[in-house]
Amino acid sequence: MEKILVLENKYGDTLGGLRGIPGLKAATDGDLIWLRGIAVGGTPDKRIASLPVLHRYTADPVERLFPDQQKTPTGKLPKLDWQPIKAFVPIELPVSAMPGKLFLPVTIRLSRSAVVQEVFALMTDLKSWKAYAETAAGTRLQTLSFAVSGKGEVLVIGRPLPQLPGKTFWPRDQMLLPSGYDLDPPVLGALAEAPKETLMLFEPDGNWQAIPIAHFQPARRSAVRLTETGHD
Amino acid sequence: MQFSEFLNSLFSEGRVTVARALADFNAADLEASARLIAELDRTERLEMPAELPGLNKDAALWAAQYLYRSIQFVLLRELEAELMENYLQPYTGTLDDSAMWSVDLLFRHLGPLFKFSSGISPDDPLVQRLKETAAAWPLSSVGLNIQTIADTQPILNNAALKTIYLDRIIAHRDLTRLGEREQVALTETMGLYQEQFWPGLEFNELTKHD
Repeated sequence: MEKILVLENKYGDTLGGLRGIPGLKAATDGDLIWLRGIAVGGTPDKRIASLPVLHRYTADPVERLFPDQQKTPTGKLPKLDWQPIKAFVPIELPVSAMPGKLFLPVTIRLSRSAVVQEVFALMTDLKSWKAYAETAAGTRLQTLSFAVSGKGEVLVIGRPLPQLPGKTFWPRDQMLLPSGYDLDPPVLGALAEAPKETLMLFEPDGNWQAIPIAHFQPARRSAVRLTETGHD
Repeated sequence: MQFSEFLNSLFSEGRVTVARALADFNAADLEASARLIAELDRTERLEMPAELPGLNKDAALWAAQYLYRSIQFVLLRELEAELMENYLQPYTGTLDDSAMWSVDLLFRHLGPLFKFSSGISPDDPLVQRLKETAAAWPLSSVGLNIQTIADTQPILNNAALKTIYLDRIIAHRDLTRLGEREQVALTETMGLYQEQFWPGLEFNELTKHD
């Protein structure tokens, strides 16, 4: 004979304190948790006695279920996937309360800005950039740096930027925002943590890519002329 | 091969050694020197604007020898001034854009030469001759505080040389070189960023220097 207890699933957390009881097994059956392996007779375990039990049964050797204080069985113990209580309620490492940081993912949105800034970066194509560097004054080139993607996109940074076709960006700390846009809300700029030594290049839809600063090189005419990509 | 070694050291290390006597250079030495200059020309073009004029080997070789002899006259003060007539003769070829560029490959070192000769009296015939030479080659003498006596049209009519010339004028803040055409070109180069590239520049005052 053994005691059978039935709990509602929502009280599953209360089983954590039962891990030390030998022979105790548990199984899930829909919205219910079944417990078995509790000996009949003797002093009831306080931890078990304190459970918010929905039904109490006594099972005979052929697993018929007798409700408490009843001599007529009302059913049979269902065939369930019984697990030792230690496996049914695994141990989880506690989460430290202090100190620590709680990171909440925030979707970065951009919106039109009322404040006008001077542009600092230009996304253009390699052909235009090379054509510019062929004839540009060294005075203008020496204030610029550039990085090239494998697709032949060129990101030029510095001031003043050349008048070339492409998209312009203005700076916000380590971020490059499309001209005319700002973070929504702007306070996000102070909260965002960009990876070190990178520039975060944003698109108007909020998508961004991190570009390592090490990928930029001074806009020397020779450097521009010798730049090649697979699309050249 | 003293001459080609001089050029090789100048181009690669920026340091030079000259002979203690005014000996002529043999043909093989001159030929090797011409090859070194041509190599320098190829290398320099990579950093220069497009449409640079071609290399005038004769002009470049003349400038290289002039530089070599000038250093000898600065160092060997016992040499008679009359010898300069033979060894520091002016360029006799056409002063076109090609000559301006080719000579500049060597005469861009006039600045250090002037500093090197600063201990010599300003009235010394060598210093006078060097100043006259610098004034005759405006592209190479930007920033030396020397009023040019040469026609700058060959420079300003070539897009690449004009760009190089203006870059040097801006870098040295050389007001003495700002004629009317240079001012227009300078305005185009700097655009709205004059204060960034040349803080405090006032074009109205420049007319006084013309």
